[in-house]
Amino acid sequence: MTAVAVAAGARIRPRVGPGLSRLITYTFLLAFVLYVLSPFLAILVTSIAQDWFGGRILPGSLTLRWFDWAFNVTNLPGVMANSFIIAGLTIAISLVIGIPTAWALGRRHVRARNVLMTLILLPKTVPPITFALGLSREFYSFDLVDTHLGVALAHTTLALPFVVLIMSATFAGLDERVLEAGRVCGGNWFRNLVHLVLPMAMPGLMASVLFTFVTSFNEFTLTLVTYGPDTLTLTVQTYLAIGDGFLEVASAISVVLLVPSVILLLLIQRQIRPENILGGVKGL
Amino acid sequence: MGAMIELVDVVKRYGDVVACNRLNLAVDQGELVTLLGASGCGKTTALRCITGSLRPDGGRIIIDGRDVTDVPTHKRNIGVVFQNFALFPHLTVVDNVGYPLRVRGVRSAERRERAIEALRLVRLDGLGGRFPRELSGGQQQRVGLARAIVYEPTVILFDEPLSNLDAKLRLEMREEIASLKDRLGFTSIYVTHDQEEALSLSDRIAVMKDGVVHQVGRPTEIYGAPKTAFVAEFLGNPNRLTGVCVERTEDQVVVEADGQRIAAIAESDTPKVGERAVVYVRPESVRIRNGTASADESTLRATVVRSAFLGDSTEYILSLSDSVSWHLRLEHTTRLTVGEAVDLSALRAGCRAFALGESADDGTHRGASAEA
Ligand SMILES: Nc1ncnc2c1ncn2[C@@H]1O[C@H](COP(=O)(O)OP(=O)(O)OP(=O)(O)O)[C@@H](O)[C@H]1O
Ligand SMILES: Nc1ncnc2c1ncn2[C@@H]1O[C@H](COP(=O)(O)OP(=O)(O)OP(=O)(O)O)[C@@H](O)[C@H]1O
Ligand SMILES: [Mg+2]
Ligand SMILES: [Mg+2]
Repeated sequence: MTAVAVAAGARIRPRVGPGLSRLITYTFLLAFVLYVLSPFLAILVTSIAQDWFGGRILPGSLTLRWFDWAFNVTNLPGVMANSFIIAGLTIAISLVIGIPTAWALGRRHVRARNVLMTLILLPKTVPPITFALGLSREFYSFDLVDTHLGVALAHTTLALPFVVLIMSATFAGLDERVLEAGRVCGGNWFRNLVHLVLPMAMPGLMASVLFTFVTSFNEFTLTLVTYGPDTLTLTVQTYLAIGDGFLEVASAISVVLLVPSVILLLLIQRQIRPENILGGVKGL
Repeated sequence: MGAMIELVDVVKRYGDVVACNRLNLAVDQGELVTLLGASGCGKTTALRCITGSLRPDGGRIIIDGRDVTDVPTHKRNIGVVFQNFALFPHLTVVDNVGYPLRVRGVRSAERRERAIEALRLVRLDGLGGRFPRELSGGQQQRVGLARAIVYEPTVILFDEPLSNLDAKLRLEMREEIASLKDRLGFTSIYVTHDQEEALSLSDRIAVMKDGVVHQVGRPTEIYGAPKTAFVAEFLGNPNRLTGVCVERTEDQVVVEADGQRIAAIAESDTPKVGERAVVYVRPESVRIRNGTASADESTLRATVVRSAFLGDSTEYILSLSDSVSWHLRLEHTTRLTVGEAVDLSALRAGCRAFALGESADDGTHRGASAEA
């Protein structure tokens, strides 16, 4: 079997030996990995480097000073708390609005379904800065600027399309006959919701929560027009630090900012297969 | 004892389609009544009205003396075995079977005990820890059965429970359902389009077409004395001959078609002389004539067109005219050759004649009217 495959391969590429072909493959792979990872590497090194100027290839020495600065000078714990509070609020609002909407779209006959879907996707398809401009004007008139709720509401406009798409696909995928069996077995709507619908929709729910969290935690454009001194988030703080010329401090904050995303990425990679979640999603 | 399940004038429409058209049916305590009919005739719709998954547009549904027409599904206390099993994919077999008990507030230890007992009844002991996806089709349907009987409902509905199983398993499960019914004594409505299943399993059969019950009766009645052309055609795989009624006496009706005459037993609603008529002939009432025909047999001429070996017998396709072909099963002691001309004898008691009016009941447009 293997011998046949090798023989076939040899016939197709008679001049390139297996060693060379492998070398080429790995070179490209390595280049790709470096390209994707190099910004992270740069940030990571900057955040712990000292005397890393000019043409030096490696920093003169390593230090945790920038993290110290980040924590003391910029009130990093408070900023981090803001990011988490806002992300939490965004998750809550997105689920509360998104789940019933998704249920209606996925399981009921909705007349203006296409119009609704377009509307839901709109905030994701227009240039963020355009959307941000409109949003900020609105927020000023409602006094929502510099409140956790306000920033979370702004983030919700971005997270909601994800939640609605994922959850409506999840709900549409639920087998009506199984739910009917639940009712016939004697379960009222609440019991069937808790014992049947929720467990069966769990992968979609998990994905919604994770996506919403990442969206909010990493959001920049909309935050910039809705934040204030009390609602400074990690992304905006990073931006401000860059603006002030503290590249090392900005890098240190970025590293902190990266941690949840990396954890989530690992979680997603382990627990959730994208094809399962997005299998039924159309128009994404 | 009064009826356990009663449908009174149940009507259900989907837009223009009348899926159930003034359905009336009464099922006695401990009885198994089959709804038998072609695909799309409204069997599932009728069943879903009984479970409460559908709200009928008219009529009442009475279970055990209680009018449940407006009672939500989960309060009707009915067991249902679904065609596609409809097991809960995220629960183990034991938890699937235990679900009806769980929603009734039965404690977990007792729940488990009773679920295992129900699984033992359907001969699935030892598989309780598996998930539905780890079971074969037959095993999944047994779990469905166990889930329906576990809380000892007085009424169990079956919606084509065996149609997703292979032929051998179907026979086995049929036996199993019959023996479970004998042991547990539940009352049931059993939906199927398989006449053999209906005939062998039922106390009574209700033959349905286009949302209407054509006839209700014991299997022998339905088979032996069909009241409409549809019922005659649907059961027993009969041969048919369409022609004109030429004679009608006290005890027989004679129909002539393409120069051939056939006598059928006379009933009050059989065709009048001069009317177009269809005669249904049970295959078991037809034989190859040798010698003279007796008084209660008609003789028909036919040519052998094709033969099919079936193991214990051989089936011959015989042509009576250009447009009429019959099938006939013969033991291997009689052999016919293709192209041979034979004389057939049709026993009058196995022949039924029906007038071919304008009505859709003539059985010829069954497919077309089901689609309309
Ligand atoms: N939800 C629905 N909307 C519209 N028409 C429907 C719906 N459900 C069933 N029908 C129609 O009602 C008629 C009866 O359907 P039903 O499912 O009761 O048939 P059935 O006898 O169970 O058929 P089968 O043996 O194929 O399961 C059919 O003509 C079907 O097309
Ligand atoms: N994923 C699984 N894990 C454990 N056991 C399994 C799994 N899938 C099937 N089995 C077992 O393997 C056996 C054969 O199953 P399979 O589904 O191949 O049967 P089958 O011939 O298709 O039966 P049926 O006609 O009922 O569909 C059964 O005993 C079943 O319980
Ligand atoms: Mg059906
Ligand atoms: Mg199988």
